[in-house]
Amino acid sequence: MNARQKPRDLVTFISLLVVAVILGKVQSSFRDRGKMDPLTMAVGRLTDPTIRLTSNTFSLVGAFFTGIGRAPALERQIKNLQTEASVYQQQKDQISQLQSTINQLKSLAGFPVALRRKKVAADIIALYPYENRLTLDAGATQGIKPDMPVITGQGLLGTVQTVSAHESQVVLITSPAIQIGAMALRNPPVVGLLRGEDPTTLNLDFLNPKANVQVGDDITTSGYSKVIPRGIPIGRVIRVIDNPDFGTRSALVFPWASVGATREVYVIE
Amino acid sequence: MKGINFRWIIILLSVYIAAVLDATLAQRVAILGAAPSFLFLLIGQFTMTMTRGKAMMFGFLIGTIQGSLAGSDIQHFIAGGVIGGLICASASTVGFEYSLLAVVSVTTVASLIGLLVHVLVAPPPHVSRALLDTLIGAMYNGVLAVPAYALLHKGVGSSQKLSSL
Repeated sequence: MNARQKPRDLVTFISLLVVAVILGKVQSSFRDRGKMDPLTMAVGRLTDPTIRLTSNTFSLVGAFFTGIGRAPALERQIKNLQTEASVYQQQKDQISQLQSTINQLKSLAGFPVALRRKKVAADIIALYPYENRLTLDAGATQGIKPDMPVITGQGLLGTVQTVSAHESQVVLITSPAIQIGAMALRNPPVVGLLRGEDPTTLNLDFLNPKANVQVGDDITTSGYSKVIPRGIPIGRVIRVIDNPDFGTRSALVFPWASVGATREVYVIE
Repeated sequence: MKGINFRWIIILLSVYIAAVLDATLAQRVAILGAAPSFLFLLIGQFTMTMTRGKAMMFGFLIGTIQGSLAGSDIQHFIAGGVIGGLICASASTVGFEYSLLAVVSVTTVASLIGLLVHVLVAPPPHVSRALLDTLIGAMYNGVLAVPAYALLHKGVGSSQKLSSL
């Protein structure tokens, strides 16, 4: 059987190689013409749909396991980014606060009154809103004395009430406890006495019951005082009130300076 | 009749799955740049118990599919397949009996020679690199022959059925 089968196997072997060469030539000739030979096309049509489906499946599975493998690294990266974001947010807040401080100091530096009189810079270190009072970190050692005006970049904030060596207590202009000489900027100016009405409003009593005052007039200090100079902005008239029974005229004033808007102040000597 | 159909279904299904895996999975599981050949793996699995003529025909089929999927050099793939089939079928004449060890050994050797034929007939630019890849690929096929043997042996049922292919 072996003796008979050997030549047959040889013939089969040679025949298959010859067919292979022919198939190769056919494939080359089609490829040279930029086409696909029928055999390649047939195999492609048979396998392509399954290959596409399987390839997509393997890609998904591969991506899944790659994701699992990278998860700890990604978690670390997310934590680092969160830390960095937190640091950036803090820095952003600091920059914002510093910008606000710079703006306040610019406003203070640009005050005409501040240029003419000696001034002491101080920071607000405590606030007692129900008592209309605050504490500054500068006192007698820095040259501060009672009754001196305290200003912000917006205008008059209050007056010094008591002084210790390194701290001062300031009464806000919104306190009903103090009275300040003020005037409406008219020609001629209309003077009066200012006192606090409530935390957001001041009351200006005019000495002249027929004072020429209108809503929108700017109010500043009158300067009829030994310690408070003339011309420090206070606020703006929001309402004029006449009292015919007493023959008086007063105005409600909205103050420019507010405690929450600033931390840096000047005490004018 | 039923038995014959079943055997051919096993063969054709295996060839189809191997062709799909060659096109999709082989490069993904490549080691040191050498990818296994799932189609060539089947030559070692099926042709050891065939007559030489049938083995060469089976190698021809495998080579044709490989060449068609590659889109070029079909004659080289066919030559490799036919020679691989011939080697596997001849193994029984030198004392190898169908077993796991025999299938692994024959698959490795047939893969090595079959792939070498392809490299030698159409030498690539970096021959030494191609030879190293061939060696690793043949060993890879030998390793994969173990699960393939288990799967096909289980699927077909017994070595007698496989041998009757």
